[in-house]
Amino acid sequence: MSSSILSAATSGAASCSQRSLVTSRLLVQQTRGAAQKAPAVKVAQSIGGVKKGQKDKWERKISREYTHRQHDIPVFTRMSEDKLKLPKTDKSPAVLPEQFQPMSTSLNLPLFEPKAITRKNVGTAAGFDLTPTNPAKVFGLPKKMFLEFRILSTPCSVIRDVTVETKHKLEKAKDSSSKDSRIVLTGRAGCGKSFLLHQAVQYAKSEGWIVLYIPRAKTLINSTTTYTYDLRTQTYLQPQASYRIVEKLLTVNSDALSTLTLSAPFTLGADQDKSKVQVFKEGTKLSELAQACVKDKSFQSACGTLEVLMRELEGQTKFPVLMAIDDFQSLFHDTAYRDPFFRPIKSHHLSLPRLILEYASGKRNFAKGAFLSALTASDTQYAIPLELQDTLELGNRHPVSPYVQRSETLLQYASGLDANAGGLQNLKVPEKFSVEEAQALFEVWKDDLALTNSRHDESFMAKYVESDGNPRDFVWKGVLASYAPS
Amino acid sequence: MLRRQAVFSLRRCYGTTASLRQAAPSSQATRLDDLRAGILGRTQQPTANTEGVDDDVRKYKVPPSSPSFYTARPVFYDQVAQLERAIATANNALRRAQLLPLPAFARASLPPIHPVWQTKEEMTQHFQTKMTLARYRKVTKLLNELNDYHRIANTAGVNDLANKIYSIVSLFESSKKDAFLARGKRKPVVLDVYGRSYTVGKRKTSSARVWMIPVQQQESSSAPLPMTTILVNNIPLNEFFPLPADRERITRPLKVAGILGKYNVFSIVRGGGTTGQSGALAHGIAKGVVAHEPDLETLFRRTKLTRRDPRMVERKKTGLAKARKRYTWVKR
Repeated sequence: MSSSILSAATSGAASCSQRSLVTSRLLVQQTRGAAQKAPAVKVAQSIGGVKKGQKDKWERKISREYTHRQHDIPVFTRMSEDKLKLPKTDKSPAVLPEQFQPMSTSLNLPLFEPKAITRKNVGTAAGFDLTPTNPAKVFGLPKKMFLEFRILSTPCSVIRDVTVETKHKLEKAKDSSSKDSRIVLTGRAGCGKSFLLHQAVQYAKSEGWIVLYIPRAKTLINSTTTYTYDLRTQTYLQPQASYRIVEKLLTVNSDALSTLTLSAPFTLGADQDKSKVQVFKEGTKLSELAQACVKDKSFQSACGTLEVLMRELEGQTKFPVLMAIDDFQSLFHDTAYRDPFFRPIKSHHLSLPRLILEYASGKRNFAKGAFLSALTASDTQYAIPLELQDTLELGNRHPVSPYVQRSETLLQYASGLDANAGGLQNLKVPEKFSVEEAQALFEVWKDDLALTNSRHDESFMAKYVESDGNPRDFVWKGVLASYAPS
Repeated sequence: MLRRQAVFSLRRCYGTTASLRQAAPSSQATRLDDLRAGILGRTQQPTANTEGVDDDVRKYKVPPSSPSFYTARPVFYDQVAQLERAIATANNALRRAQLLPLPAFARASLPPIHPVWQTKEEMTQHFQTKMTLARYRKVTKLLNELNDYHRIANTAGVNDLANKIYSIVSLFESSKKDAFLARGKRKPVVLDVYGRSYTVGKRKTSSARVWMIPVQQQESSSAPLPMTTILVNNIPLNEFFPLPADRERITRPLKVAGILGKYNVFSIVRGGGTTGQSGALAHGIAKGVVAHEPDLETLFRRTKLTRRDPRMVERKKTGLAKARKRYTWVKR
């Protein structure tokens, strides 16, 4: 690459050294299109005559002016090396320093694995593995987290004391029904609920759980996928979304699914034409069933397949199942879908949100596993509804009128979440980073060359104070948005 | 006068013969005096040399204590004469001490004086005469000269002379001297019982009342780094000011002083918008820092942190669309 640059540079230098009236005329003629066919420009006449010996200079000047007046796109000519202000030498080549080349730095972080999540390791950053079956790669990530990992050279997060707490909860949940382990992560906007959920998903995957992770539950209700009305279940099915979930479930949990088998025969594509119908006998591997569904790109069989898969996963006790839902509060709102009367469809009338709500409220349970969900406090379109606020005792920012209507059905789903009645547990994520945790995160960004200020101690303390320890503000409005010069 | 006549008549009755005889040789002189007095129209003074209460009154016309008795403003002229005598004495003393005449360089190196004399009204009471401008100027001129001598004596270390001069000069100093000299200067901020400072910061039309209290550090060795918490209207800083620029403006005084984990800040801000409120809060914090750490006063003044930003919204003018914006120029 460097040799080609050098050769191009020398050729450019050669052309420039020969700059004369001839070359300038050549440049003029290199312009495209209509300008070439345009009549020749009249040479300007000087008033009062040109001084002796200045004729050449005058003509060159005029030709340059005429060149500029042409509005066609000029041909690119590389600037000669002798015009560089800082000349290129072997010692200081005119390229970016090595450390600023892409993919040159790598954060040397310990791996995020179950044995690393200990109380001793609280306040250290750990990187996620980059295998193709990582739930983050397959299921996706919440948007802010995705943007952050895109900037960082390796996806990583800080181990906090809530991480250890969640790990203990999941360890307890491993051997019990998901009815006893239905957890909602709550807290202030930007306090790290989605990150904690993601950490839980990574932990569960490493521990061999079957993981179903929905990072953006609002995509299920914002009418971005197809929906059809099913007379049998009297709900609106979401074939495209179900297909995606089956596909992702298979990719992430293929090993586990290949060991599990169907407990009852199942006909794939029962509603379609007879030629595409597939019958799966009792004892077939779930992975085979899922693969058959994935092959059928028409999404028709996806809903049925997903239903069967969920039933099987509920019944089996070989692997604990983790259902992790981010943006959980959006499932309590009206969806963006419309019924034939153009009324917004309720979330519990759509198949996938209904499925999630049933597991959340305990109407359906995994024999072994947990239901873990996180709220998004910063979404203005899908704010945390009153039903959730009341049952989880989140406390209201603004006074609430008793005349505000609360939906009966949603209250039913939410009342199953009452922690005191053995329902949904509210796990409050701490609002602030502790100083050690903030230090660990700051060092991650520092090692990744994200800081402009060389006074690290001062900027760390200032950013911590300015963000009041809030994790999102500390990174996005603190470390990455600093106005302080170096 | 009546009393004198009564006494005189009583003396005549009760006067002893001895005293009368004693007075005999000088009786002629006294009769002459009496005659003269009578011609001049003065009242009869008892000229007999009797022991009694008004001995001097009967014998002599006691001259007044100072010649200014015959002027219309005795107290004034007395005081002026006293001041002039004091000036002369001080001058002599300083000359003897070789402090006068003072060379130019020495005079230039003397500390500046800020005398605050009593007002004309106050001096009127002091001198028991109406102080016109001319009299006031005369007095203050003398006082200034005396004060100058006091300054020289004080600087030279001649303390007894300096004290004596000061004892005269201090009689004429105004009671409002301290208040006058402290005019225009900032009132020093006092920490309260709990060690809190209360300061007010302003910017544009916003005002911020700021309380700063030192962070109580835990004694244990494994205690985490102490961090400043800033509450604005009882809301954490990051919730009240979402813009990073506003937040950085607020923490700038703490960064400049290098005391980011030392104090907690509670404030109530009112008025204006985000920039004004953040600027007012920064101003209040800067003043609070100076209150807790007076050594940083010069530094903060140099970095203009304690300066109240005087920029305000400029008024709209007639004939203009806004403060500076002109209407579109139309050729015709």
